[in-house]
Amino acid sequence: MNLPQPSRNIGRSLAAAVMLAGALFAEDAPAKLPLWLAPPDAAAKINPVRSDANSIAAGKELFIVACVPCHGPNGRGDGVAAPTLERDGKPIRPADLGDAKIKKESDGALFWKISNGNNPMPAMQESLSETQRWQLVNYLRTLPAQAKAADAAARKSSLSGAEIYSMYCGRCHPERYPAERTAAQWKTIVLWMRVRANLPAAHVRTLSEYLQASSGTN
Amino acid sequence: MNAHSTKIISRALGLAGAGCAAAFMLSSPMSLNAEVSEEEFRQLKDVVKQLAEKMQSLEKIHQADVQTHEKDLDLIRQLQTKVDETQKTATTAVAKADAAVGKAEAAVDSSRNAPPEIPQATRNFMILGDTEVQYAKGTGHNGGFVFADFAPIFLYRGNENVLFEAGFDFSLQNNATGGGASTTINLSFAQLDYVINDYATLIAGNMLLPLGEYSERGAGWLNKIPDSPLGRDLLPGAGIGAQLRGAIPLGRHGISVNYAVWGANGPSSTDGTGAAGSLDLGGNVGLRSDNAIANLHGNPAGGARVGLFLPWKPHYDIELGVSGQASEWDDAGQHLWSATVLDTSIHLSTFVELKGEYIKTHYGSDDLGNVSTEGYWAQAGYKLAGIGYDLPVLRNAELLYRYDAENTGLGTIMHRNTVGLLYYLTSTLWLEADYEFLHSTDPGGQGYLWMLQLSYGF
Repeated sequence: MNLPQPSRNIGRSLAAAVMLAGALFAEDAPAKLPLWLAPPDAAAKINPVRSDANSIAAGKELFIVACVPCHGPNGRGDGVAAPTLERDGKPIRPADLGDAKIKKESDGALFWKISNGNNPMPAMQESLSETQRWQLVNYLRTLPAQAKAADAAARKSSLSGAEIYSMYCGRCHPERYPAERTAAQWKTIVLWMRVRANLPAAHVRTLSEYLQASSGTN
Repeated sequence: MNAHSTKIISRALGLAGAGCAAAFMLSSPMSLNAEVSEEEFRQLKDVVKQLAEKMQSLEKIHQADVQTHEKDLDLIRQLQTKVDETQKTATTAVAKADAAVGKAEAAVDSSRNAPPEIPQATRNFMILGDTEVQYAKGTGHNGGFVFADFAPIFLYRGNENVLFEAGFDFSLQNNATGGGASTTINLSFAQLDYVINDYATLIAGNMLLPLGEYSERGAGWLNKIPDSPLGRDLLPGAGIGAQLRGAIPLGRHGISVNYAVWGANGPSSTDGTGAAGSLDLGGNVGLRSDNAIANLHGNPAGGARVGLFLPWKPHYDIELGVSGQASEWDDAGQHLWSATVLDTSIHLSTFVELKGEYIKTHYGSDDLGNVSTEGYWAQAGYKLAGIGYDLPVLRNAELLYRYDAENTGLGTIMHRNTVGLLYYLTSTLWLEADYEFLHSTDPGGQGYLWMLQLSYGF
């Protein structure tokens, strides 16, 4: 057959892609990926507050008051209130703000997350001024990077709805924001994806609860 | 230094001064002999002695005062530390109280919004889908808007276990074969899904066939390159029949095995003969050569797919699948058609995606004997956000490359290289720009193609 040898050509294509990926990620492969993404236009916002000693100091004061109870003094997700947090009746661990993936997020994305919150994290767009939220972003940038051991421990836990959402849905299409659909719509979509994307029933239940709890209303 | 200490020190200094003056006088007895009597001298000596004793006593008192003062300072420091700790504890308590109040308020709001006595509706109807418009310029053609497509998907959930899904494809194609424009309406799929239990779902209708994963999870809007890979036209995309499928989790970390087995009306002959060129992948029910409508060759096709999904954390996974289908295809039932497909998709972060399929089919024919076809494609995508530069243009762009090839088994061999740039205007509105070059043993089919497509998933 005159057709170019498939194994050789596919092998070359994959090898080139893997080498490209390897080169780009050799320095800093994300240890833990974001499960909650800011919209691209919000993520593209430029921080208007200069990151200097004053803004970082102001941000630190805000961090102590607004973030430390859950995220802990070093932002590791080990604040005193962390064990009490729940989503959909299930314990949820606050983000480790030293996570490499969070470190890679844009100022705009962090600002959007602080502003809008994500149950049980409260939205702070009313309690903090815009300038204060940018100051908080500047301080978050100074938090130390995540320890590898902490990341490994986190991975040992069973999957949350958000993790299943990223794991199963994100492989075929960009993840949609849960608030884009109503609870009833998510229920229908998850049933559809159970068939179309081969979702195991146990994951279907966890995912459905997660999406319905985070859904929007009409 | 406090006022008390200052007073003591000044007194001591005064006594010391007086003592010094007396000592000065006593240290010059020869000059004083003329003026001071022996008695007076003794009296003065006693006074000096008393003053010295008094000074020593005062020094002792001063030392005791200094020690007392240092103890007072230590006590003050300890009290200050306690005050700081108390303030910190109070701040933490206030934060905890605020959080508790917030949770309580949220619980109250939640109970108000969704009172348990009002159940959620058990039925739901919704429309999803995608739409595209494409500008293209290829070898031998002027550039123009050549394609517009609207592909709605209707979903109706009857209850927890029943779903009806139907997908249509309304498309307008300019520069169509034969010239001019053509509008087509296709029922891509229409199937009823019934969840039997945690591990099995029964499907019936016009089903998307899981031969590979492209037709179910890669086609249309989800395909980041506007046209389908070579090789996919060697397979039927859908078939009327019934299917049993499901997924079984392995462990708690997302690994699962999935399966599908189906029976469907398989390929047939366009003219009822067994000539190789008459193979019709579309379906086995139709008009026979004697103008009767019937199941053309009497036997449905059987197919199956098994897949293994291996994630190790979100956005890091590999899926491997093997699938196949076989059936008679000519009206006389003399010849078999069969297909085998290997598929894979790999994700290495949110930025890197690799996927591909290998397709092999065989069928017998009256005129050409056994015909073998082959197709394969491999596609790589890299989101430039992975570079780490926080620039909107880079953050929202993805580079793509695809290599695909096909041997039709009837004398035409093609292979193609495609490079593309996908720009995410939003997460569901994409601008796709692609350049591809097709090499073909058919001189008429060889050439380049530029495509610019706007895609929207809803």
